[in-house]
Amino acid sequence: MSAVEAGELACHRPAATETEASGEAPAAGAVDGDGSPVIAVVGRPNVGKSTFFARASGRYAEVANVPGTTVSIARRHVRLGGRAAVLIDLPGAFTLTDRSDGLPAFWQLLLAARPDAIVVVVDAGDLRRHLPLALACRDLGVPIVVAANLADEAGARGIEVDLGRLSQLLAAPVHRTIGRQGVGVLAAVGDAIRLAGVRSSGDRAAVRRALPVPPYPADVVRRVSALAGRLAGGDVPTDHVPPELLSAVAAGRLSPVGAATIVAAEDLEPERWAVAERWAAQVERRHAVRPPLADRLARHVTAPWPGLPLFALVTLASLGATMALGTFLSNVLGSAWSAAVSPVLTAVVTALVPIPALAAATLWALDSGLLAMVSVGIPFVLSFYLLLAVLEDSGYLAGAAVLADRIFNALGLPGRAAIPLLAATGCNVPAIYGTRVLDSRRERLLASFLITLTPCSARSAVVIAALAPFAGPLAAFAAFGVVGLIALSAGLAANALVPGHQSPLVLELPPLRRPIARQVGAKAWFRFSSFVTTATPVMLAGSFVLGGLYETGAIGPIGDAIAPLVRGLLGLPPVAGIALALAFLRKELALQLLLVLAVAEYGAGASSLAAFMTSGQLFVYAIVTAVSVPCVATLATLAGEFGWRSALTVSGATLGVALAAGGIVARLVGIA
Amino acid sequence: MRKSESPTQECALADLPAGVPARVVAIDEERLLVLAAHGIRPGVVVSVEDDAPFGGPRIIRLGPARLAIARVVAAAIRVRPEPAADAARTR
Repeated sequence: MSAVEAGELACHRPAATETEASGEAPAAGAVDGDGSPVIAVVGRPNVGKSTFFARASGRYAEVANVPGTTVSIARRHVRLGGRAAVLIDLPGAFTLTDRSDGLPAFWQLLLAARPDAIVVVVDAGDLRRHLPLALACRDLGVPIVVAANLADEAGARGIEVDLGRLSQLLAAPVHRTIGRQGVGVLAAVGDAIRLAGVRSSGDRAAVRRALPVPPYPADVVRRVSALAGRLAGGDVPTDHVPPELLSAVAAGRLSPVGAATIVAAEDLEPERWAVAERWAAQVERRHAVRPPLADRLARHVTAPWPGLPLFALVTLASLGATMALGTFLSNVLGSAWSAAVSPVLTAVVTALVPIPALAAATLWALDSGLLAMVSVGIPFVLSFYLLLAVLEDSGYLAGAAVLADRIFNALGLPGRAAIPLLAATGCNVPAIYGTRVLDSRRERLLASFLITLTPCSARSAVVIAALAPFAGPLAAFAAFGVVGLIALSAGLAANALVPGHQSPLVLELPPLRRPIARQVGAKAWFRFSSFVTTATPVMLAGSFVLGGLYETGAIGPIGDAIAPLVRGLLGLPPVAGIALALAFLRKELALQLLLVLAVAEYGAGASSLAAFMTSGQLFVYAIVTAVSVPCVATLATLAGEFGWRSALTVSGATLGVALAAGGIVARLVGIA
Repeated sequence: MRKSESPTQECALADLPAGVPARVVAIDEERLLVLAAHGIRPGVVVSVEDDAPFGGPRIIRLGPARLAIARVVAAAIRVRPEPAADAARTR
């Protein structure tokens, strides 16, 4: 047994007794108050870094959905073997110089975290592609510990790694880890904390004078050293060196040599890959084994057969499961609300608010607004997120993204956009957050436009409820077909109109893995709670305004103003226009509102849709509701993600599309 | 698989028949950085596992890793098929 392995066993204890998760600091980059060493966790995507981090910090959390934004960086206080430390989870990175659209380079995120040591999580079964990042981190001059993770998967593929030898070559501790089971994780982090202690006790200046000559060729080392000398003397043309790097050197957060390895990254990277190739050949032992089942299955997922039928099956099953679970939860929560909460709220508000109109508006917000969150938002959004997390963690979504890639290319989107678009059928708000998986702002905007054109569960319910009972289920199907066609043509047009083009796919496919229940739960819960905190206030305020307009009668003039458009263009009765406008606040109320307004306008005889609208009018109404301006919660989300200008442009575009399509359909069915 | 087309000539990865291991010999400048970050560099041996439908990406094997690469990107990668004996040795 090598020294490393012995150390691992000595350190390894169960997570529950060793770790203390004591919350998160607001953002990375702040010096930790109590002087605890900072340990950064770095690794390539799909290496199981999040699971590793969760095991190390004793808490599952989804944080790195947004590559490269500082707000998404989790900090956790941990205590291992009597030593306190701050663990920092950085987004997955291929190289230190990675830079995604409009965000700082990865090395800037890493430096902002001010790590005293780095745990580099690598794939024990694919060292050739994972060691270069470990070398790059080591070259910075920060002590590193390498976690040879996914050791179980490597073993199943017949790959064994001589950890002792690798540790000698790297001149850094190497631990065998299995993040999913927690094997070796605490030992690796504990080692990093120990090394961080050595570093902060003042030895570090002595450690870093030059790049270690092995493993790099002498001429490369000379070039880097010369550059480091110039950086130390401040004698560099600033257009060559990012100012953040110079200030890090000036502040003593990075040695000149470390900074030089970033500046010279393009020279060093090929050398690192060559070294990784040599070292991997030295430390790997391979046995011929039958490929594991997961690998054999993974191939079928992306092959046209049976991949395509499977894709259709998974998509339909996902939607079906979301709808079934959502409807069940919705009924349970909705009736619980009506039975227990609603009467209490009504009594309290009526007693406390003396002005009747104000009391009524307040009830619109508190009773109807919150009920909508409880009976529509929560059940459908939460069940969708659970399912999405399962598909994502199992590795299936990446395969599906490959299958769908060519289709989505026509819309200027990569196959990955299939995921948020699927989410949009549940609720547009989380789907727009989901576009963060896309690379560029252009892709995100185009996807968000398509999302706003995709009927969410509330809008689908309106389409079904308006058409199925009065015009037949076929009419409902036809309406969805028309909406799909509208979205497709609008998407094609947007791709042609929005400047720029989409970068072609290069995607690493993760192996199929059994999802971890706790991780799936935590991920779904994290996304869900950010949905609730965004949507609830908007829902409350929107419902209050809607209630106020309705209770004070201010809604009448608004209806009069849009009546010519509604009657002339869409061939609908004027009350339908008011209902459409108010549905901006609450899409799921488009029908109830229509009925309430119709009764107010035409008397009790109008209590059924069929009493005052023909099936042709209902068809147009359903389509315009499904496509027109997103609801206020979606608009707020768009504004939060892209700014008000883009949000209003997207909303205006959907309104234009809805009116144009509604006008055409109205003429086709002969009502205008 | 189109083994009959004597896969010994240098060609673009986009045209490499499935199942034939080939060594990357050159990559167009504009795709170099992205591909290099994924480990597709001159000198490595790759093979095509499958093609996604509708002219979609090619699924490439690189050691134990699987990568999906759009066809335009695959067209920018020049490869030379490995002689069968060598191929068995490389990975």
